[in-house]
Amino acid sequence: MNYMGSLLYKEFTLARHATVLIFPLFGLMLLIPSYPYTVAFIYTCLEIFFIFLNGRENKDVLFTALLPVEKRDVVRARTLMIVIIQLFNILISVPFALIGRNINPLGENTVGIEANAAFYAIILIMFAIFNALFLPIFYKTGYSAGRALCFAGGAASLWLIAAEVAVQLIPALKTNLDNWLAAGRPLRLALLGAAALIYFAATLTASRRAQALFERVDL
Amino acid sequence: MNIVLNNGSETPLYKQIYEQLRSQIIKGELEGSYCLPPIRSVALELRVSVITVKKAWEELEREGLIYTVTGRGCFVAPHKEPELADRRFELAEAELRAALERAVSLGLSDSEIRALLEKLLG
Amino acid sequence: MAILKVRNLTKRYESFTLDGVSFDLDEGYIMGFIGRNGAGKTTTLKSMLGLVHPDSGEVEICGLDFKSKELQCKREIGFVLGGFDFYLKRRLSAISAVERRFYPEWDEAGYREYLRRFELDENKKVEELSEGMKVKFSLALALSRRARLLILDEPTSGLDPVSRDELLQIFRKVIEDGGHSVLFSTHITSDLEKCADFITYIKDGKIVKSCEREDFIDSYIAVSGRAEQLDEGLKQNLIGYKQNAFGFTGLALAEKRELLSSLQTARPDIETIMIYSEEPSDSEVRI
Repeated sequence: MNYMGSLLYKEFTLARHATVLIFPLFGLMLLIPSYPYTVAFIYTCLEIFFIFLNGRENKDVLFTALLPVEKRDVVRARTLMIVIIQLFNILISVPFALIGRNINPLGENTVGIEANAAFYAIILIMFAIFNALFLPIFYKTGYSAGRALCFAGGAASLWLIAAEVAVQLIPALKTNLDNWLAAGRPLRLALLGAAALIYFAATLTASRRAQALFERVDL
Repeated sequence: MNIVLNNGSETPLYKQIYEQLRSQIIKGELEGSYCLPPIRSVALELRVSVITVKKAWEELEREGLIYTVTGRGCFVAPHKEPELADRRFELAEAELRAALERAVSLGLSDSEIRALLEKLLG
Repeated sequence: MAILKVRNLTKRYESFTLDGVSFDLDEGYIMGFIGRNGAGKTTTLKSMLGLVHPDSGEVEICGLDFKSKELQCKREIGFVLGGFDFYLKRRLSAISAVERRFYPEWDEAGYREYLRRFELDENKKVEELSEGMKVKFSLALALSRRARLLILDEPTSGLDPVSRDELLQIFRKVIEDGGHSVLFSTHITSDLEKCADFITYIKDGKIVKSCEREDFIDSYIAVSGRAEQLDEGLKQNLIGYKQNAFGFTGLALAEKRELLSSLQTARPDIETIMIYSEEPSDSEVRI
């Protein structure tokens, strides 16, 4: 496994897509006084889709499989790349979320959940859903990027809509999650922790499943 | 040691190498215990495959014209002059015989062939 | 010692079966892998590298079982799958920077030398290279890995005669020390006449023959004769024949030489052997 570093180097120098450098800037959206902030992270999912699409055009899978690595490492390295990108985009956005909160002339986000810990829990679950579907669907053939996006993107979007609607309509959630008040903070942090666990568990499971499927693919 | 290969020839390359070295050895141009260059270098130099050279060497060895010392290479076998002269005669005879057969197959009579040979000898 | 052992490689597709492919390649030699398009050359090579999963069969590289020692095996192999059509928008330097991380034996000086010799500009992007240049880039990478076994799928097909000649000389140079081997598939049979020690001929997913090149050629004879000589009895003894207004030409196994004494015979070249084996006659097909 000592070549995983080299594989990641390959992912970020050869297999990356221009959006890897641009899309993290969508974190700036969290400065907008009122906005459905979750949208900023749909771009992260698109970014990942672009990487796979770009990879297919450039025969990334074959190139990687020809390197002195195990075939499963093709999937392992890509999973790691996705996790890095997703967490990086989240991290980049955190300062903007905090600044946005303090400079918001309206005092609150009038069109969606505040960009607080609960918000990030929703985002992590969305990533978990996206990864859980995208990886196995793509690696079942090694090229079905469009199909993977349809299912994974669709399910992730449905989750976002459901979560936003639930927060706005269910009073218990609204009082505890959609603000920065100290009263709901332990709950919000607990949700974030749980979401992080779910994110890592789902991504790991999906990656394993994708590895097993990919092992059977004839390139 | 000289080898000139003709890629367009019907004769297999290994045979061309073999024939040229054989004639150089039996003409005494390559002296006894002369060390032949390594097979792989010859292949690279002549731009032929390794086995081509190997086969030529094997043929030469089979005829007792060269011998191998394991780990040191191949050497031209020492021959005495009368023996080499016999070999030259054998070879010339075989080639003349082949030419003769072709002439006969073209329908030339013995006397015509004799006349032709005289003429060629000048 | 065998640097490559292929045993009973079998892979069934709906319309094609790779059927029990076996052959060996010894250390220090060049083997040409020939066959028509679709005969199974690429499938064989890909199965050997684990890119395609054979239904059965084993591959050994340098005495190591490929399935259980995939990593070590892959480090011993320099693989060239036609030209280089990966990461078209990237510069060559970015690609070599990745490659050299994966091969502890990477020969940087050798790599620079190949770039110079092939006139490759590392600042160019892959998409800016001609087909021939792509092949050369692929080769430069494969050769710089110091792999003991070079496996190349049609490396010469996109090259002009001068570059092909240069490439063949590189192959001979690679194997000169006796510790390296080259296996390459090709359509260009004259390349084989120039540098292959061994020939493996695959037809419809089966190995027809795998042996020394001269033995391969010597196991066939080319024949020709007058039209009236080509009777049913003779046809039975020929692998293939072609008729024309003035006579016929054909190919037979060398062991049938005595039966063909009335015909003109000659030593065939590899192309002739392939043509008659694949297309036995204009009207009928027989093996």
